[in-house]
Amino acid sequence: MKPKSILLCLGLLISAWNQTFSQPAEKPTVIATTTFIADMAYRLAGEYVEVQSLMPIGGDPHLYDPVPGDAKRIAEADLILKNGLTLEGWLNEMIDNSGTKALVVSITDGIIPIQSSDHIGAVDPHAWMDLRHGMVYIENIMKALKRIDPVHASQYDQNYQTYRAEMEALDAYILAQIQSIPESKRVLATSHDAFRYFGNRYGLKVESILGTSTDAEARIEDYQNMLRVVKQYEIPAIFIESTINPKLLQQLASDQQVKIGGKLFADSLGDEESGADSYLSMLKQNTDLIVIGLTGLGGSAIDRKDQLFLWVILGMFVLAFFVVKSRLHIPSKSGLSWEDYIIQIQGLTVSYDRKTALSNIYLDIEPGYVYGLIGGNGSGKSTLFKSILGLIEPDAGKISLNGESVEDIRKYISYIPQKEEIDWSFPATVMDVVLMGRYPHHQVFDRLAKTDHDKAFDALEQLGIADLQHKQIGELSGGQQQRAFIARALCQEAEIYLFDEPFVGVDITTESRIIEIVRSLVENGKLVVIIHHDLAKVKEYFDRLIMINQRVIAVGDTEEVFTDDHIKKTYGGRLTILQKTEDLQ
Amino acid sequence: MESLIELFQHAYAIRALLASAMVGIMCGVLGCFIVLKNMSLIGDALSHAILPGVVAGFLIAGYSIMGFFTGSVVAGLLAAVLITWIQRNVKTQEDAAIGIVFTSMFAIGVMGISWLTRQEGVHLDLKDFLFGNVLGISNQDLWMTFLVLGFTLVCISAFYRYFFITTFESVIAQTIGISTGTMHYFLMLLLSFAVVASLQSVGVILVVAMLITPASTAYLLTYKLKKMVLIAGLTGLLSTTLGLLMAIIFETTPGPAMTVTATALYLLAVFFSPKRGLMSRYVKKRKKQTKILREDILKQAVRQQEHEKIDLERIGEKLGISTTRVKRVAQKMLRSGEFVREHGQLTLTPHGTEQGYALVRAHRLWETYLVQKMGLSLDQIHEDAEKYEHILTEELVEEVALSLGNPQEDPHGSPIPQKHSTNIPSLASISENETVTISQKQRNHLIRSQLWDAGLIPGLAITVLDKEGGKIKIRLQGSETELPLTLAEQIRVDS
Repeated sequence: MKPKSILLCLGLLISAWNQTFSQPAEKPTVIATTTFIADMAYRLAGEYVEVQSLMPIGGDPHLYDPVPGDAKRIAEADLILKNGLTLEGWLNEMIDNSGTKALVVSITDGIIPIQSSDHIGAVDPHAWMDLRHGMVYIENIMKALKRIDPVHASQYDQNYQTYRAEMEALDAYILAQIQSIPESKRVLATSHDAFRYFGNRYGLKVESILGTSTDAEARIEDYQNMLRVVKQYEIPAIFIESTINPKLLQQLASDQQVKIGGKLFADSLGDEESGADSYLSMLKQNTDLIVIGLTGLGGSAIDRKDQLFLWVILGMFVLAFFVVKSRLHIPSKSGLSWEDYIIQIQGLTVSYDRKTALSNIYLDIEPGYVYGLIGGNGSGKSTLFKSILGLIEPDAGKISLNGESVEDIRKYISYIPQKEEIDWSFPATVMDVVLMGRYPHHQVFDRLAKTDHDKAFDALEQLGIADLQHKQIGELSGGQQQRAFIARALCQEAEIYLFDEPFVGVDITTESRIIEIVRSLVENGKLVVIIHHDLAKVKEYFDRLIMINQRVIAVGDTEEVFTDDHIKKTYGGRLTILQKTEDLQ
Repeated sequence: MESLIELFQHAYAIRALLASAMVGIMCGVLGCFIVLKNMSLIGDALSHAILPGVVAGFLIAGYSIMGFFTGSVVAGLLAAVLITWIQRNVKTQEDAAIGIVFTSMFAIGVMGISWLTRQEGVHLDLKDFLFGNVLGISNQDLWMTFLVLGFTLVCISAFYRYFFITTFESVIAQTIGISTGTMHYFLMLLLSFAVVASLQSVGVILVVAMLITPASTAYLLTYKLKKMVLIAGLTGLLSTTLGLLMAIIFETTPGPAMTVTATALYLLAVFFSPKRGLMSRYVKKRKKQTKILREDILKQAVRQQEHEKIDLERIGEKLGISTTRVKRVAQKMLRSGEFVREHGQLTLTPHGTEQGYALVRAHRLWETYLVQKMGLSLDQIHEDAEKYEHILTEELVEEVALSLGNPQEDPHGSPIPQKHSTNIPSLASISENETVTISQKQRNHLIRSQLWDAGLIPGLAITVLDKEGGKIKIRLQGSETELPLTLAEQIRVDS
């Protein structure tokens, strides 16, 4: 069973309960589908029945989407008044499904409808805009009221007569009013085709952008047609409607320099403030607006107050621009001495998701030596680098570089990532990548200068790949790619160089070239640490070795610390106790 | 056509065209960074997530472009923040986080619209939001779009370096102190602006297409980010304006027409891009296949010529291809100078013979290498050598020969043809005061291009002046130049 039908059943149960237990003196309930029908019913029945409208004040009946509460109200009603003529497309199914015992009356019975403008064979439902049809409406309502509540039949008759007299008076008023508009200007241009009955009765030519239903989009030809009408008749004002987005017509009015004659009500009554809160006052107000608008006496030109809005946006943009600029400013200390300093790591502990990656690391690293950082998978080599680079927040411990925190001296640190971390299909040339090394030397809006290009080119020449500078990085071989990234590091002119596995996937010539460059860096007093995992060349490449396995196993001259015992501790039987304690957590 | 000209005399049509053009450029440019960051789904997410912002804006300010704009941008940023927060702090897959946030925000927006139509009696059409409404573009919309486009372009060019590096590799960006978080949210902000400005013309669903498709098209066409941004902007511009014209001509809805145009351009790039297109890949593959076939024919011809006449039919049989195909290729090789026809009989030219022997040499040396250095057995090596004889460069072959100690026989006992180094002398081998011309046939294109760079155009006569300290001094056409001896060794000359 669908939820909707469950609700309906519930509604039925409740209404059955009501019938059984409520007082017999309760008033009959009349449900009108939309606001003006409710208004008519109220005028006719007064206090003798309970009148409700399904649609709220201002609701658009074409687009109305019923809610579960409507089903309940329909099920409990004694009389349902609908306009018919396809206005309430969604209603019939609901009435059928609700199993209501109510009397359902289509109050347009006896009216000959006119054809709809947008669908062949469909009819235009807006019959109430013609007061003579309105009289048929109220007659039908009166008859229906008499059937469900014969006790008060005479009162209904009496109310009907009064109401009808008012309608006749208003009908005559509207006829006379429209006559006061010069004949050539009797053209009503509006949002959707709700005024054709009105026009037919009172002598107005009606043009609209949308068809009879609002559930459609304006097409180019509709818009052009509207433009043509406005020009042809030189009408002074066009009209928007209460239930339709006025934007399109406002723009048209602004383009053609005609006025907006005001907001007309057709599909729904307005609230009390609008002056169109009853069927009769709605028609009267529409008429008055049309007359004032088309005789050129009133209406408003499009106001320009939203110009302000553009300035506000511009202000927002400027603000955003400078906020970003200030956030991108890289603080950088200069005038530091880069002699006899150390990277000092004290008590560094890092963990990911309760898994310890590094525990209680104490290390001093000095410039002038090639440091190898070795350890197995998951030993924390990369984590150590990321901690030095300030990319991860340690749980505990302190890292000081030449007595500074990393944030202040980023310019002096160069990091060469693992090749796997790079998207090699990225649209960047070798030169683009190498020039990135020059970025830290510039403020936000500085352009890269000729000297930057020269430095980048020199770095490429040092690595022997200057002829590849215009190649896309993905076109290079593994060795050449690594060379390009080392060239980037070189032209940064840093003091501290951190290489993450630079020898993976490179050819032998590249490897020896890298080692040459590393040697010359170190001879110039730079600090170099290289993550490495191939043990074969350790003694050949590194002056000093840091062996870690989540904690420091050994640090010192390679000759001294690269012993079988340390290697075993670094690579084998690792994590035994540490892992066990973690599993216990 | 006439009606088209007439149409564009109307203000609304010009507005539609201008707005579409601006939206195309804006989305194309921003799309590059989204696509390169693998965040295509984010565009989708932001565009849907702004719906509740539209509703809230309406509640506060009614039919006001200000309320609409502010509400949308705030909602877009909120979505970006929520997505990022979930991705960082909750164990949910990244794309799932995006899905959860934007669908829920969109749903709230739809509920809001439904509530608005019921309670406030507002005609706020969801369809306009989904598919846009180019006709409804007001002057204010146009100005707003213009401002957003201007802001986007100014920001992209002012902060280009930062966009570049954070898009390329955020870890590198971080290590040089660039706040990647700032750049991320800044991009999200620009994206929200762009989406809001695009809604009126293309709508939520299709704005995603305008963000992704032109950028992807540009990606196929270039290897430089600057060019990619430029091409994407142009492709976007072309897609939206052409799309709009198509919509007018064929009387259909503009948003979808723009999307279809963008996709058509994309497909063109997919097939015909010189860089990453299917067509160029196919051509390259064909070229490589033809090269292999020519070399195979040469090799067979050299061996046949050793004891008999060249018979194309038998070559075809040996290679397992039709005789007509062999003949067709041989015809081309006649023209390119590997073969020559004498008295109706096909024979190899000296040049062809040299090439053929070079191939046999490469093949047999590689077989030897595989057995001696890689420890493979005799039955495993032939296939591999068939492949490598076409790939190995001359330098590599000589390196292999050197490392094997210049063997005379391959593992099957066949002789390895020796290099005809005496045939074509190198510039380094020329003695002082001798005059030679630079050969038209250099060993590879790299050397050719280096020669051109040095002004040594093949066919020119040069005189060697002296050779000292790893350099060789030469005179050509009256002027003197120095070259490294290592380069001179590789330059072929005709004496």
